[in-house]
Amino acid sequence: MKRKLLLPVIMILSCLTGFSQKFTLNGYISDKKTGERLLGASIFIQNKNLGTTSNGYGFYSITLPADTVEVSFSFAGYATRIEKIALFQNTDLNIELLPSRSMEAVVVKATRKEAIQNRTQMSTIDLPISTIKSLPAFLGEADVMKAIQLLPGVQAGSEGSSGIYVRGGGPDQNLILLDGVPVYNVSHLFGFFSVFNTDALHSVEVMKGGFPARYGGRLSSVIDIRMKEGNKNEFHGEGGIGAIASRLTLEGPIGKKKKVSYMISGRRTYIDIFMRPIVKSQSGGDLDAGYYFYDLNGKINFNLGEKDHIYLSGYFGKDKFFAKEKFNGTGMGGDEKNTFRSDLKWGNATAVARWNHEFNRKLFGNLTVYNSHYSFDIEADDRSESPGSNERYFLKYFSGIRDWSARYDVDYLPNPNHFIKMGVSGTTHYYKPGAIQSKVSSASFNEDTLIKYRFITATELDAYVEDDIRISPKLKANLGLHFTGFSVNREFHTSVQPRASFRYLVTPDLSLKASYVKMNQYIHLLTNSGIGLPTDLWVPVTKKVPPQIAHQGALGLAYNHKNRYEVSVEGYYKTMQNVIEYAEGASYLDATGNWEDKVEIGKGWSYGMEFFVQKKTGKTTGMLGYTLSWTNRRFDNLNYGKTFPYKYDRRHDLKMAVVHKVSDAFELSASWVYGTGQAITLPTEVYLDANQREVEVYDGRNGFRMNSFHHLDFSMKFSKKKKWGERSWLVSVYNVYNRQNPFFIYRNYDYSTNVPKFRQVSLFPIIPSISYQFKF
Amino acid sequence: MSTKTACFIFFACLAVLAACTRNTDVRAPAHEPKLVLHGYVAVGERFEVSVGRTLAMNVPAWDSNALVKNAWVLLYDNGVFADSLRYDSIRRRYASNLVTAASGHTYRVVAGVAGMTSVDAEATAPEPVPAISVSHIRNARLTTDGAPLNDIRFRFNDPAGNNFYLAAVYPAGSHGGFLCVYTYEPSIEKYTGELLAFDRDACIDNDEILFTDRSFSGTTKEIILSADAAQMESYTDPSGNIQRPVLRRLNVSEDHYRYFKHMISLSRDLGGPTFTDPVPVKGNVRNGYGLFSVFAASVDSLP
Repeated sequence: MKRKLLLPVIMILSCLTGFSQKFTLNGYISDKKTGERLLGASIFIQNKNLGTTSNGYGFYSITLPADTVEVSFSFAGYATRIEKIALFQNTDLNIELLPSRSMEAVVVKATRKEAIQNRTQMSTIDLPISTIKSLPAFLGEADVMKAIQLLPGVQAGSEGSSGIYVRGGGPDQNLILLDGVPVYNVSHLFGFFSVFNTDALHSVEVMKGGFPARYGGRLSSVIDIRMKEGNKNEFHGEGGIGAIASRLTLEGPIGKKKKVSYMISGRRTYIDIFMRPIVKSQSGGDLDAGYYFYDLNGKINFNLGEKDHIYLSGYFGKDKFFAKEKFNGTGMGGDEKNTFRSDLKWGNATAVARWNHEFNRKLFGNLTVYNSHYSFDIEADDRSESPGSNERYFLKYFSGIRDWSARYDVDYLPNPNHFIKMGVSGTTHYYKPGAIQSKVSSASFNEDTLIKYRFITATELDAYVEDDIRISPKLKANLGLHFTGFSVNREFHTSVQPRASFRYLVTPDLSLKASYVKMNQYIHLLTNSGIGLPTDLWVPVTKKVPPQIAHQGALGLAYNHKNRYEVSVEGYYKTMQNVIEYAEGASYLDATGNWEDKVEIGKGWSYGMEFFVQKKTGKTTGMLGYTLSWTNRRFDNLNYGKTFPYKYDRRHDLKMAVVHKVSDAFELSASWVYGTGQAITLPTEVYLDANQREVEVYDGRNGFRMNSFHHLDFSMKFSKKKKWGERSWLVSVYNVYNRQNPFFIYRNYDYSTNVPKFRQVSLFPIIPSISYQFKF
Repeated sequence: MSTKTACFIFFACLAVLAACTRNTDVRAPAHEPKLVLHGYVAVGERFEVSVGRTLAMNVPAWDSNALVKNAWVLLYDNGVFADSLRYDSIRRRYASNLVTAASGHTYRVVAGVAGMTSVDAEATAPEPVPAISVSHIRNARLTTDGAPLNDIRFRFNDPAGNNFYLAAVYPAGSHGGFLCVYTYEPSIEKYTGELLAFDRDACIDNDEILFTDRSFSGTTKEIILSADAAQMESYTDPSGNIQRPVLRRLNVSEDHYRYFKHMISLSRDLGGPTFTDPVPVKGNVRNGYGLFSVFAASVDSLP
């Protein structure tokens, strides 16, 4: 059926491409060492100044007039391969690229995905996993989200947290995809760590604007994270033992034919292992309490022949606080045995199956079916046993969101001037905005109550079409449309979102880029903190709380200096409608009542300029980013209806990171971040009410700036080759010069002078850590 | 430079830098003093208001700093000058000897002091809303941890339009005593995150029961409150008088209601300054702060 539908489209497009004698060169690009496919690799026809890129599954296709052509295949961190091909018939050519060691990278001709000045897409940054792993790590745990925070246009939330705010957007406006599946809460331990174990990851791409039509559902960013496929050639492993967590990743082929490979990865903290004996000894042995989190990533992929490939992958992670107390006493009925158990747990689970099929040399299809689930549970179980009497009080609060989705994407490459992508998807969202179950039982009384249990089911339909068009050798455009239909509570919302990006090559190394996008979002996050608390609730749009809409325009320059430095300068302007904030006086702790009554609806806008330099090759690599931006909000019922700066409005934001490889055995890295102080609301004056209570007066929302935020992090890596593989010691220091960065400010009395003062609370002093890493 | 030398230099620098801990001063925002006016007058009572001034955040908020004793305060009744209020140094308030609040009248207070912008506020005295019935049911239910609760039920005819109510339940013999009140009633404002209405943590202060008629405007409404049974028992005092628990209900203006709601929110820990945006307390005083309100009160002794 799908083939039938596609046929007319293909015929029309074929007509447009003409009937001259043309042949197609196609195949897959993969890593020679691991066999993993390389997405976004560049394929360039040297003597014709034409090119394309491999798609999300390493597939490429280019159709050219019959001729002998010199084709260069390149990818970031890999040695470029140049093939001379007599293209007088359709040709299958699978290419394996060999990773280049960064020490040698300087001599490699081209070492990047499609060079920055050539790409149509703007506001996009690829973060190599190797770079993320080389950067100084908080408590020795390399973290994707913390690395993303080093990019211009991305503001970090509170110190140490993994929350991100992109171009003035909120924490709910980031579409964070793991193997194409949205992950709703990416935080462990209240945001100090993210759920992504870097050992299990293959690539990270961050988009802040100029979104292609294939993405939708969030206003401000797309973070596309792919897990490793698993080494198809050999069995390998890597892992680490750190200050708070250990991890292990194994990957390899299954069977001698190397048609199946797997990757499995696990990480667990051991805070509880250290904490439990201390808690027990402090409580006289009655109390057993602790906290831990863990992550499990797994992937298996099957090569079903030349044209079909199946990937199955999943993620499962959980945070858990637990406490169990036993105590004996004497009640009216005699000796009593009491036990109290309390658990607080939250986590994500994702599962995805993907089936790639190559219909023909120019047409590639992918079916994706996934499930994503986030849940947050609190349980309290209080039992009392005495002769003739057993009493129990059990309470459970649970909330969460679950998605089921299926999508079909098609890539069609009729000729080098077009790269057409189109697709459809259907998603069912199940929202659980908070339910509570209570069980009370005794000899005379039994009650099992479930209150506020209200699933909300919503259905979302998406369709898109986009074309990356080469209009002339200098001018390229990516034009697309994204259509969304969202049905919830008998309401049906629709939107058509145009997307357009242009690239004009001023010189072979310099291009001018422009983009415009409209984005819609049908989901809101109820949060007071923005730091990824497990209590944050995802809720759908309603009649009262309509969909969020953003328009963003950007203009920029991209420059590639001798394939060593990539420089980009971009200016942007973004407006956001129907953003929400808690109403004045509403408490997020109050789970009673309707959430719609507790929020205000308003608008926001952000504009600014971003500058980014990246050096990806040589002994010394690194990046430098600077952002100058303004972000404001306006709500009729907040701040007396006046415009106020967004909490994460940051005028200046400077970030730099450097990695220097002294030798194969010794590597140094450092990062430094500086940001204008966070906007907060502070009282401007105080008075006494009729009962002589102090009442603080707040003049303007977020009208006060905390001190600027900056810290320097440093790490050293000592590596040594062993018979079994390689081991490394990683010594990291967070906040090297012990800056006391503001976390929040409060007012209290200095009792020695009886004078009130504003006091600043800081979280992290200098924190050294050491971890052991190994690879085999 | 050898690795060992590099390590030595690094750790030496670290030790020096780690000793450089410093505290950060946070300056208080700029401040211009304004007048503060407070007056809560029940229908049938004489007018009485207090006048104060705002203080900078780095100045202690004491009576001696905050109270204004040399202000002029004028009272208007339905737009006509009614009295000039005089300062009572014992009660530390400005009081009228002539004017008593009456339902249906609109009152305006204007206050000023040399060197500061004068302030004014207006309030209309509402009609009282008497109860049709009040009942007291003993041991009607249990808290989630098994403590017995008495129910206080009262019915009343809610007048047309938007109405705002404050209620208080006082233990027998004590109009200032503290008592935990619980309720299922959805129109009553709750300030805790507790979902179970009869959990100890869902306790509402006995004099902070606020509700509006948004869901029952113009109809007959029954409100059910529950309170600790032990504190709700009547008793005979040494003088031979029977002391009963009391239910007090105030019919207030929207300004009054909103001001009290914000004041209650302020006094609660809503998660700390990191997690919440503060509540701006909005009164009805023009050019200044505070609240001027005239309300109607109904008091019922519980059987």
